[in-house]
Amino acid sequence: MSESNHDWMFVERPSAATRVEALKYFGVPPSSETELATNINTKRRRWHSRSNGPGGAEIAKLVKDIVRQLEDYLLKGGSFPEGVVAGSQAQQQSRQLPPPNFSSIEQLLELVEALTSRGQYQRAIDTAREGLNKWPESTEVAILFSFAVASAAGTEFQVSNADLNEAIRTSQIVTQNEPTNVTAWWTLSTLLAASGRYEEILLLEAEIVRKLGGIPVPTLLVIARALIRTPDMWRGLEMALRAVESDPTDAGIRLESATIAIEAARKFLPIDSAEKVTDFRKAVSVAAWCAHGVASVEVLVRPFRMWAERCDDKMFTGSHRFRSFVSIITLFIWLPIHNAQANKRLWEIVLNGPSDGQLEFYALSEMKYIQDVHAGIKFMWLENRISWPQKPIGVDLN
Amino acid sequence: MSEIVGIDLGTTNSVVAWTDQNGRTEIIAGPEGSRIVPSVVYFDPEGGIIVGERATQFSVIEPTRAARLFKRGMGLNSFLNNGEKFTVDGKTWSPEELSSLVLKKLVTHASSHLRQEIKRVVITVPAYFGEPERAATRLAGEIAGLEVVRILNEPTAAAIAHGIDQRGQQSRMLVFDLGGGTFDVTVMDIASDGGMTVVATGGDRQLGGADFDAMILEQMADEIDLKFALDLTEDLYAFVDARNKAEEIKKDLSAMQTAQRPLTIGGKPFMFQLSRANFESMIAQQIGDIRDTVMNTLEMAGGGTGGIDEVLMVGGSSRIPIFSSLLKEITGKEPIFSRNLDEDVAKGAAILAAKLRGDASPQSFIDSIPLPVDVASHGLGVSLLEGEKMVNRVIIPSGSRIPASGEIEAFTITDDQMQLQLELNEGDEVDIQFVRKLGESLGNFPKPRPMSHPIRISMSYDADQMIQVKAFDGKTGDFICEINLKHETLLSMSERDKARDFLKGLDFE
Ligand SMILES: Nc1ncnc2c1ncn2[C@@H]1O[C@H](COP(=O)(O)OP(=O)(O)OP(=O)(O)O)[C@@H](O)[C@H]1O
Ligand SMILES: [Mg+2]
Repeated sequence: MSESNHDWMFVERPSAATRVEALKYFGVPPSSETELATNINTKRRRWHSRSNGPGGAEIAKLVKDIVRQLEDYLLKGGSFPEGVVAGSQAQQQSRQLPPPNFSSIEQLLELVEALTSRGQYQRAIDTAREGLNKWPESTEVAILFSFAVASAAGTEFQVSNADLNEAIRTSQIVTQNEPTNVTAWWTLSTLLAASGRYEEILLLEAEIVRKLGGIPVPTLLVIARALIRTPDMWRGLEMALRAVESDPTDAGIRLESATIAIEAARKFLPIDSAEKVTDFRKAVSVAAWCAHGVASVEVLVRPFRMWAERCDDKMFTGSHRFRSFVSIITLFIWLPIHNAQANKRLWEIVLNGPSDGQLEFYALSEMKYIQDVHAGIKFMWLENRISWPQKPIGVDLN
Repeated sequence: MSEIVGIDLGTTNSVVAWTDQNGRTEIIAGPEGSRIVPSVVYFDPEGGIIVGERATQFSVIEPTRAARLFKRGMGLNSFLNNGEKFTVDGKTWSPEELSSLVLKKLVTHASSHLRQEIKRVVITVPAYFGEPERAATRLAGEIAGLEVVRILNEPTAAAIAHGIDQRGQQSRMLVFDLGGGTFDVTVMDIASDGGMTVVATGGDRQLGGADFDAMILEQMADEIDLKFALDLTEDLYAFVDARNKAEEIKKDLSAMQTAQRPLTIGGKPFMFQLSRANFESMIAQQIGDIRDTVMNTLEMAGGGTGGIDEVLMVGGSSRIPIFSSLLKEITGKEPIFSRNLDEDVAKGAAILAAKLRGDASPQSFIDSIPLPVDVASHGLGVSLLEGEKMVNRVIIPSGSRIPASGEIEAFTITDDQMQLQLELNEGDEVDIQFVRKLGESLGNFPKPRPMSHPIRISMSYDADQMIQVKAFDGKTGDFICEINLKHETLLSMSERDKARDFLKGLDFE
């Protein structure tokens, strides 16, 4: 059997919640349905073995679990499992929601936390506000309210300006009354960032240092992210690095810092000048440093590293060598040596886009990492289309 | 010649053994007479440190001052369920440091029993342990001030101990080792002279008796919630007591069809009962996982399920009856239990220690048994770009006999390439997501190279489990860069020395 016949074994999630897709997930077709049970077994065992391997255990365990659930569905008459389809954001929540009324602050805390963790942000905010009316003197409840708004602001949920402003006011009062409350500072900076009030965050930074003697890492990261959106971007990256240095073994901090650095790098896309090549590379090297040692974060940064390394490369049109990378050493750092005879740089080709008779662009656009890096980036040539062009029919790039 | 002892450093229990020049092995008991030392460390509020059985007792009273199951965190940052570090009185203890305390205790017993200071040891590890976990085990020994003469795989140790009674036959053996925290399956070929070669290993670093206890504990909590509307996890003492009872019930069920224990919750008594059938359905998922691992390992070994001549059961949890039925069903062979199931691993380590000491009398069997052949339990490879995809290209596949070496050719990726980065990975998978990066290094070409210029990468893995990767210019032979992996762990050298000095000054029993 050829390699490609086994592709289904490596598919992590079914692409739709239908029986046909569930069967395809187990290689039916090309196998016939009589082989279903065997295929399920083989796939489960393959992913089981991966889940005990030296890396990627989390993903493998997740897939193994999906295999089990789909086995139940296909062979044991269960219903199609929830939240397993590729791209679905559906999260399973097994915890029961506590009763909607509360008579103590403790109950209120529990309820708001449960609502937030289920993504019911507006209800969480409204419930916390009810608490605020009931216990207007309680700092704990004040923090809870602004925390609920801040948590919602960190997601795709659209928080109303009224809620944001009220929460900012509330947390400002808390930070005045309880200047050593670490959560309150985090909340306040998150809320200011969500409202785009970056100048105030900069003032906040100095104030926190004065009150706490330093900036706690979660707040440091909020400020770093805010700075990325201001002309003070490089200082933001410095802070991201500081956050990682504070505990180099913390994968969560590395993830957060690396995504901040990627956001910064994306500000230089599309690359349209030599200066941007340098800046993009600088930001990507920060991302790479932040991601260092955490495989799942390194995977995220990798396409950017590849583009940083190659964007200024020259493409020799008509050379076969371009297509002939077979196995090539990775992650080299390439020092450009100026060549007066040079053809175009890769970034120029991407910037200029497809034009008649120019095959280089199509060759480049076939490289997935280049498209990944530029997802959502606007090009002149892209105009109103959302997707990159396919190569012209009948053109053989090899 | 200075003495060497063998140590089984287990997740739940540890054992030290010694073999004399005539090949007679004894398990060394502590002053309290116990041959098995629980791998538990208790930190008393006065600053004293207690290891073993007494630590287990204190851990019931003050669970947050006791560390257990730390072998699961070897080479990682944390062994606690919540991913946090174990901290007591403001000091954080790494799994390596905690293990070194257990080692120190065992070696103290051995020293007073043998009336000389023991400085050298053979320590066993699960066969499925990767490089970082093995390095962490060596480090634990170093922190305890010991020279770790050899790291030996637990199944091999068990097979050595088992094999000395039945030599003379050539056979293929499956060793099923299910302990307190780890699970190992090993298929090995035993030659007629007793020489052993591992053919395939599989396992799970995070599966063992402690997980079965947790399942029972969960059931207890559910019933208590249902009956009294109380949360067992909120009451620390009731919780720890229940956890111990859960283990007792589990052990009872290996001999009986039902078992029960009284629990106390919120001052109320409660009799918890469990049948063997219910227990088995509770751990159905783990049984399924274990079956899959056994099948995968047999497949890797080749020769199918029928090719196994003997099945040896090792580790306390292999006493659970469903596992012997499972293995009988798969292999068609009646599994063998050794008489001293809990001591065989240490015994095998002691025999190897005696062999390495080199002073065995010519009449003893020790002189005649060959040294076991080690194999790499995971593949070793380097990251390469293939097309536009980063892949792991394996140079030394799992199952290779150690010492092993290999070489591949790679190419530069662009014109005027000046540098290259080498990444060493552990794992046999091509997909980079499923391997673990062990090290990296950056080097320069003597001068810029054109695209597709060849690069030679060689790798070696020697008997001391030291890994070396080197890259050379494929045309000129110039050296570019290398990775040397020896005792690299999460602790830096200075941290290690600090830990060792700290340990020296400790008052501990
Ligand atoms: N009769 C029994 N039935 C079921 N389980 C048992 C029985 N006796 C011991 N166990 C379990 O065996 C485990 C201890 O086994 P063992 O001493 O072999 O493990 P270990 O060497 O400490 O761990 P590992 O080898 O995983 O590092 C404990 O979880 C214990 O509850
Ligand atoms: Mg053991």
